[in-house]
Amino acid sequence: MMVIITVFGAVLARSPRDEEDAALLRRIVKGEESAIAELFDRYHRLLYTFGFRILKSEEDARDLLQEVFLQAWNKASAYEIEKGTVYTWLVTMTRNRAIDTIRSKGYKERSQAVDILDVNLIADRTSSNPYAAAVFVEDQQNVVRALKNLTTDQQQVIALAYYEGFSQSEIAGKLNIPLGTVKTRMRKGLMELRTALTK
Amino acid sequence: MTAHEEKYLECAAAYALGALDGDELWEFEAHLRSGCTVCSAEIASFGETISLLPAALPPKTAPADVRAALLSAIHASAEARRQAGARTSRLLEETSAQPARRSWLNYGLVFAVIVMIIVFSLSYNSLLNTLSEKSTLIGSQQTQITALKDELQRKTEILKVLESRKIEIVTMDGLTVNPVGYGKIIWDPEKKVAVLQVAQLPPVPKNKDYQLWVITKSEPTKPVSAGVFAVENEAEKENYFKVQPLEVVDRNEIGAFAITLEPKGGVPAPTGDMYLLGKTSPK
Repeated sequence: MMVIITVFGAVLARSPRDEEDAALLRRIVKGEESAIAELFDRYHRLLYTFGFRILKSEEDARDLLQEVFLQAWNKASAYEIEKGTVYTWLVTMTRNRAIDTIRSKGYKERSQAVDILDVNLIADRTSSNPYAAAVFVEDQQNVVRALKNLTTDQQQVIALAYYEGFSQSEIAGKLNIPLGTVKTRMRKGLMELRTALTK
Repeated sequence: MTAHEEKYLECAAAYALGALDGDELWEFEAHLRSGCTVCSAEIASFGETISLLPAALPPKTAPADVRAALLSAIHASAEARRQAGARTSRLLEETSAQPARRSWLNYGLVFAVIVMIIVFSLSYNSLLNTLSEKSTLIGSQQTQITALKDELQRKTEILKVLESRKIEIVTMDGLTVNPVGYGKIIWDPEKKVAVLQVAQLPPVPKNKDYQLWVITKSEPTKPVSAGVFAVENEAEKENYFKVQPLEVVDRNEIGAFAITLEPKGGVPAPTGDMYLLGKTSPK
């Protein structure tokens, strides 16, 4: 069953999986350890991959994964369903923690060495489906398909911002392009993604 | 609310990616705080879209032990939470049980306060009584002191009379109404002062005084008053009184001294019984 809710005037579709996630979180609030285990089984691979993408360290990604699920366990009651899905909540927590880490001194130096030409948003197109056992088979296919519609420039600014933690000004400096161009590429890229993913 | 502008939608994309910075970030967040629903919806929508990006990443398999480590940590956290809950429950139970104890405590406190008030009142009254007694005692002692001072003053003056080089003494004997009584007049003819000593005179009634008379030789039927005095108690005790001034000018004119019991304050001429009488010796 698809549930439609309104978030700040925007219509967002909620899948049955989103509802299941919300139910898991309610159980977590009640202190059911089996619920956090189930949530971990659903998303650990995606979040670990995401963390590794940002931190570029298996050890740090491992710690990050554990921190995120501990935070989910401890802060489940703070989750507000009307502000987004549980999945988005988990991804946002992971990203924020990871970016905070790379913005620390040590990671800042590493991030300066990012090869902007190697930054991309899409997995190896020849690789097998990495989430076959997970829940994102359909999503992954949709996302990859949507990203393929973006220009390389659009993918580049989005990847530098989202995975590398650079600000729009920093991106403009690294790419030596006007700030306005960065803004335009970001906005157009996200709009095209949103359009492609909501079809 | 700051009016929505197209430029803010551009900011919304960068903001959702966490890339907005500088003055634009400050201005856009102020714009969001002002309540722009368009931009808020845009951010939420972009947020949902962006959260799908990790799905396209090259897959990485998490270490196998991370699940066990996480669940162990969570179990410890849950256990701590349960223990905290149990402690809270016990605390609540204790708290809920406390009203009775508190009421007893309150009763105890009230009782203690009442006892304290009673004790304080008793102490206060006792203190007041003590103060009153002390005040009375002090008043009595002050009266005694005053009396002693007067006595001292009188005896000092009597002593001065006795110290005179030319004193004369006239002894007085008790008469029929009080044969045991006796007295003396110690007299300084030059200074015209005298001291009266009496003993064994009965205390005078409240409306009476003893009155000393000088009986002259020329007019023995017209005694001259030399003052009044009273013997209030201790009749056996010797009493001294200063007699000043002794109006009789000529010592040779004095034939005798007499003491009669007269109305309070004395009278111009004797009316009462004579208690003491003493004649002067011829010079």
